[in-house]
Amino acid sequence: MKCDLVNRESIISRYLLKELSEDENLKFEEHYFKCEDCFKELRAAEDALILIKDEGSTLFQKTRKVKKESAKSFIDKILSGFVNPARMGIAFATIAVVFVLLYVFYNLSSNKTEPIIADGGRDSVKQMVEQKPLQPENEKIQQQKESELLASLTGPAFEQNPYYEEWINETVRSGNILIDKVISPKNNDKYSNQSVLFKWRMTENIPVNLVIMNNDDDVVFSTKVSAENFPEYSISVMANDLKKSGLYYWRIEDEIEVLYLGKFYFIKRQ
Amino acid sequence: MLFTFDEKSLIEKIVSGDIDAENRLFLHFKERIEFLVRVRLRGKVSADDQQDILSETKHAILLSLRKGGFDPAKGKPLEAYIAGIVSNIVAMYFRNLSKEKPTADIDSYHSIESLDNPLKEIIDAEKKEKLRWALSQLDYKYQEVLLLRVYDELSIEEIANKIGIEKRRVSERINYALKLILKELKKQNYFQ
Repeated sequence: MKCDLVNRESIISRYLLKELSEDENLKFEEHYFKCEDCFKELRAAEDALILIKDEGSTLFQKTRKVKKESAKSFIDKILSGFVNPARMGIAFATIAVVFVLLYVFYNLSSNKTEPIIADGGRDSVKQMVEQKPLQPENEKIQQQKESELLASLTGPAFEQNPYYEEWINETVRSGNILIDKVISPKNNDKYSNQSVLFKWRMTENIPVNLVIMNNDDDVVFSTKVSAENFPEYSISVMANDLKKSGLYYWRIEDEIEVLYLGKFYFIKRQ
Repeated sequence: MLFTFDEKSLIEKIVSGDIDAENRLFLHFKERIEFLVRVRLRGKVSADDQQDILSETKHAILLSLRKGGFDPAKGKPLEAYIAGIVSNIVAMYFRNLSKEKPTADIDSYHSIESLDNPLKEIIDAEKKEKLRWALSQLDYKYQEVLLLRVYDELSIEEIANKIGIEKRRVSERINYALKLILKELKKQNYFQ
C-alpha cells in the first residue's frame, strides 16, 4: 500500500511527543495499523527519541563542547602566544613585516601607472585612465538612483518585519539541503510595475509552494509550483497580483516547513 | 512487509472459536498493538501495568471479534477496528487513572526513568550506532530543540521562551529535525 499521508514526519513527531489531539491520535493509529511505511518510520523515530532521552546529555553536549572548545582553543592559541615574551616578539615582528610589505607593494603598484601613460600604448592606457574615474562615477550615479528610489520607499508598507528579517539573516536553514540556488529575485531587488520572476533550483524533485507575504505577515499570493523543468523551478507573478507598493517577503515551502525566505520591493506606479 | 491474510475467513474462524486463527491474528498485529500501548502510556505507568493493559487489550479484541463485533460490510478495515479497540482501552485506563489520582501526580509518580523500556533491549548495537550518527549529523539548532524537548522535557512554549524564537518555529525545527534523522537513517539502511 502506498502511503498518501501528508506531513508524515510532523504527525509522527507530534504523535510521539503527545502533541496530537485524541481524534488525531486515533486517526493516525488506524492509519499506521495498516501502513508499513509509517510504522517503520514511527518506530525509527521512537528509537531516536529514546536514544536522546537516554544519552541526550552526552550525545549532544559533545557537539556543544566541541563548538565551545574550538572557539576557545582559537582564542587560547592567540593568547598563549602572548604569554611567552619570545613568541610575543616574533608575533609583533611578523605583523610589522607584513605592514612594511603591504606599504611597499602599494607604493610600487600606484607608481606603476605613471610610466605606462607616458608609454606608446596610449589609447588603451588612456581608456583605462579615463574609465577608472568613470567607474566610481557610474557607481555614484547608481548609488544615487538607489538612494532616491529607497527614499521613495517610505511609509508603513515598506517597514521591515523584524521576525522575517531575523529569519532571513539566519543562514543555516533547511534550504541548504533542498534549495540548491535561488536565482531570482535576489534579496532587496526592486520591481516597478513589472512581473516578478521567481526562479530557483532544488536538489530534490518535490512539489513546493510559493507564498508571498506583505510586511504585515498577510499572505497576498500563494501557489503550488511543480518541477516541470527539474532541477529548475520558476513562476512569474504578475504585477496585478501585488495590489500595492511595499516590502514583500516570499517563501518556498514543502509540506513540512519553510525552505527559503527572501524579500523584494515592489513599486506600483499609477 | 506485513503478511497478508484472508481477512474474512480468519474472522469467521475466530467467531467459530478457532484458537489458531486467533494466534495468527495476534501475530499479525502484535508489534503495532504493543507499540501503541507503549507510546501512549510512556511515562505514565510502570512496565507491569503496561503488560496488564496489553493483556486486557488482547482480551477485549478477542471478545469483540468472537461476538461478531467486526463487520467488514460496514466499510471499516480490520486494522482500523483493532486500532480503535486498543485506543479505547488505553483511554479508559487513563480515565480511571485520573479518577484515582490527581492528574498532576501521574507524571511524577511514574517517571519515565522508572519505566523499564522494552525497546532498549531490542535496539541492537549497530542500530544504535546508526542512530547516534544520524543525530550527530544534525545542526546544533536542531539538536538543541530535541534536547530541550525530549531530554529536558520542556514544553514547546518553554523552549520558545528559552531560545527566543516563536513557538511555531520550535515545532518546525523539531519536525524538520525528525525528517532529517529519518532521511539519514534511510541512507544508512536502518529500516532493512
